[in-house]
Amino acid sequence: MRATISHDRSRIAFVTNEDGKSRVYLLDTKSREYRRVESIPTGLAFGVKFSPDDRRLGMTLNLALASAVHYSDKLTAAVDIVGISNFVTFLENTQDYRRELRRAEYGDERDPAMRSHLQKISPLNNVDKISVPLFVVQGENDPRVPVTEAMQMVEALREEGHTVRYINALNEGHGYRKKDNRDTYQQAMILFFQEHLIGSD
Amino acid sequence: MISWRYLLRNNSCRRPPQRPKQRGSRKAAIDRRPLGRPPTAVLMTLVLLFPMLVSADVDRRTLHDGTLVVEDIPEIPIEVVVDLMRYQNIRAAGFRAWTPDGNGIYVSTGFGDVDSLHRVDMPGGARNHQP
Repeated sequence: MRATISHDRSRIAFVTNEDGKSRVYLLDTKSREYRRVESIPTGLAFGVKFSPDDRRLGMTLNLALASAVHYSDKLTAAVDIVGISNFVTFLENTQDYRRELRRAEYGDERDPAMRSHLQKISPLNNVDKISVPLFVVQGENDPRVPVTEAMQMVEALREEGHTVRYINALNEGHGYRKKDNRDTYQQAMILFFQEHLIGSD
Repeated sequence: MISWRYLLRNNSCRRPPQRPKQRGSRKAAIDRRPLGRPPTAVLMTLVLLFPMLVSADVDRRTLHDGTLVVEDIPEIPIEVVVDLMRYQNIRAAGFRAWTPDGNGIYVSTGFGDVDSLHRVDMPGGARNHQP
C-alpha cells in the first residue's frame, strides 16, 4: 500500500517516488503537516502499513535479502519471497529465455569485473551482516528465481547459526497460486509477524 | 525442476545445496518396489537419508500431501487459522476481457485449487468455465 492511515486516524503514512527512489512520510491528520521518516532509508520502502498499536511501520520492499544485509540495524524481521541470494548463480541458473534480459537488468556475469562486483554485493556473500530473523518463501519450480537461490541462502544462514523459517512448495513456481499453499503460507507469515513485530516489546 | 547437472554447474555458489531430485516421488517409487533388491534399495535409502542426516537439527515437515515443505516453522495455532479464515474464505472474480462479440466478459475466479478463466454472458449470469 502506497498510503495508509493509522488505526487511531491521527496519522497517514505514505511512500513517495522521488526520481525513482522512495521516501516515507508521516502526515498529521489534524494539523495536516507532514515530515519525512528519517529512520527509514531512501529507497527501502515500497509500501507501508501501521502496526496494530500504531507504534511501528511494516514495509513491503523489493530485495528483502539485500535490505536485511544493509539494514539489519533498522529492521525487526524480514520475509524473503522468491529472492535472489547470489546474482551470479541467479543469472547462470535462471531459465534460458530470460537470461539476456536479466543481464541487461543486473549486469553481465561473464564479464570478470562485473562478476566480482555481483559476488561482492550478493546477500549470500554477506550473510554475516544479517542479524534479523528471516522467513524464506520459495516455489520449487520457479523458472525465474530458481529454488537453488533460496536453498543456498537458507543453508548459509543456518551455518551462521541462524534459525531460518523456510517454506517451499513443490508444486508452485514464482509465487504461490494454489489456495491451500497460499493459505498455509499466509498463516505462517502472520505467525512470524505476531512473534517478531507485535510480541517483541 | 532442479537437476544434479544444474547444481554442479552452479559452481560459483559458495555452498552447493545437496539434495536429490524430486525426493518425494523417488521415495514413493521405492516404497512400491518389490523386496529382494537390497543393494539398490539400501543405496537409495542412504541417498534419501543423507540430506536429513546433515541437517538433523532442522525441524522439517511436509503438508498438503507432501507438496509443501516447511522448515523450522512452528505448528500454526488454531487462533491464527481461525482469525485468517475471514480473509481467506472469500471468492473474487477479476475482469479479464470482453468476449469477441462484445456481449459478454471473461473473468478469472477460483475453480478447484487455482484461478481459471470463465465466460459470463449477462449481468448476474452464470460463469461458464473455459476449458
